Amino acid sequence: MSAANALVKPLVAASPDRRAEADADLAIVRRVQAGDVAAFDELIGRYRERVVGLLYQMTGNREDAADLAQDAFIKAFQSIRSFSGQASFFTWLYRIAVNGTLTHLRHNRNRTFFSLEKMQEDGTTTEMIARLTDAQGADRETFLRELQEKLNEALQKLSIKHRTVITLFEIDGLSHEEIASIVGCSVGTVRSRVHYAKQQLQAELAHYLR
Amino acid sequence: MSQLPQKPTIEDLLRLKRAERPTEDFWTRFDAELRAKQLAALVQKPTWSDVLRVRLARFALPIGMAAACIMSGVVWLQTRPVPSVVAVVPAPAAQLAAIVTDTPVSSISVAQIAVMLEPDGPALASSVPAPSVVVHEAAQVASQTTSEATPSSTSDAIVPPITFTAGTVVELPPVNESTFAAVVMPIAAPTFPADFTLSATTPLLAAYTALVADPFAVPSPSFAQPLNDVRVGERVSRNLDNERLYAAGRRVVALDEGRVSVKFW
Repeated sequence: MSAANALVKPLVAASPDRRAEADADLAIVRRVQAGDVAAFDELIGRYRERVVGLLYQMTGNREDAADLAQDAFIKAFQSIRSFSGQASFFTWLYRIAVNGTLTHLRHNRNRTFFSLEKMQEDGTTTEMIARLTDAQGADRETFLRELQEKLNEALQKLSIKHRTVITLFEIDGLSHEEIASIVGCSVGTVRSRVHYAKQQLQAELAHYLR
Repeated sequence: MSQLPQKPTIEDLLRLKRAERPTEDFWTRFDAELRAKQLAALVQKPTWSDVLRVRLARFALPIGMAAACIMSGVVWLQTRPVPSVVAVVPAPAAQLAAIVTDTPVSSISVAQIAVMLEPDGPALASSVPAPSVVVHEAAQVASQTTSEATPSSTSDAIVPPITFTAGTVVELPPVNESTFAAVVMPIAAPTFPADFTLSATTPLLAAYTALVADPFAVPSPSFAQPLNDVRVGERVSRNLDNERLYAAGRRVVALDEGRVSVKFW
């Protein structure tokens, strides 16, 4: 399963796939800890797209996302000796990336630079876009661009905490428990934030939900 | 065709975000930059200062709070009233003398000021006008010692010591504009022995006192600061009613390195 497909497929915390993934990660981590520095490249290859994708949704632009993801990988590399294996490597890496991004966002609250990425459509995406385009009676490309802009705007209007949680839950497909572990709050808080963020987004995107 | 519900949900819209993916060029650049950063991280070992900074980071808050408390204390000490004040008039040593009054500070006598001219000092007599003493709101009491210091001529005239009561403000004119200054100094110890006596022919240019707000406070050299005569006058008038000062004990007017100073301690 490619990392790109993993983005689309909602992830389940205790699924056998995830457990196997975690075991494989741990084996690689042990190799790195034993001095096989090159083995860390395998971990980068496994998670770079997901990490960059997550940080792109959080920051709103690809350049910042790339910088922050690189920093997260470097930090993980530098402190991999302290990784004990109690949590999965994926959760640990995500925690580093999310915390670094939250710090970055707090220091750059007034920054409003967003980038739009081209959508790489699959069957479901194409069908949904077609349906939305029909409903709006607009040109497909124009409509897609406008929709992306509106989605970005709506996400950026959320607070940093709510944006992080809704991104991890709805876009990255993590469970409430995983998000709670990454963000460092209770599961109840995660549920509450997801609910609130959805309400806000519905209000912002009401035009497309008719 | 469509297995999806006709009405899109917010989850459907957010799912579209998953389809936003960067191009291959982006990943090429990303990998190159990451490789460079990784190599830099491998080469760059943390310095001892980095390690120390990380270890001390956990103590940053308590250290900061302690530093803030210390700074507050220092600022408070700096800005509190000057504990002990001496007005100093710098002048050439040859023109200066000192007078010590062994008379205890009584309830009516705040200070004695003597102004004398050197009897055989032609340079002083010619270049420096005889200083005059201006007394404001004075309950001036004629000195009992005038007979001891009667001038015999114009050149060696001795202005008799004058006794002032509490509430008296004394103003001395500058000797000349360039040398006159008043400086606040702490009193650490008397610079002259208590039995120091003044010869009648010793030249004395001028001296006056500025009184203290709290004579029992601990003095500090950092209190030394230049004062103009107006500020000294204000200080004098503000503290003349301070009974603690008058009960403080003896006083000395001293000659020290070209300065005349009057001290209470």
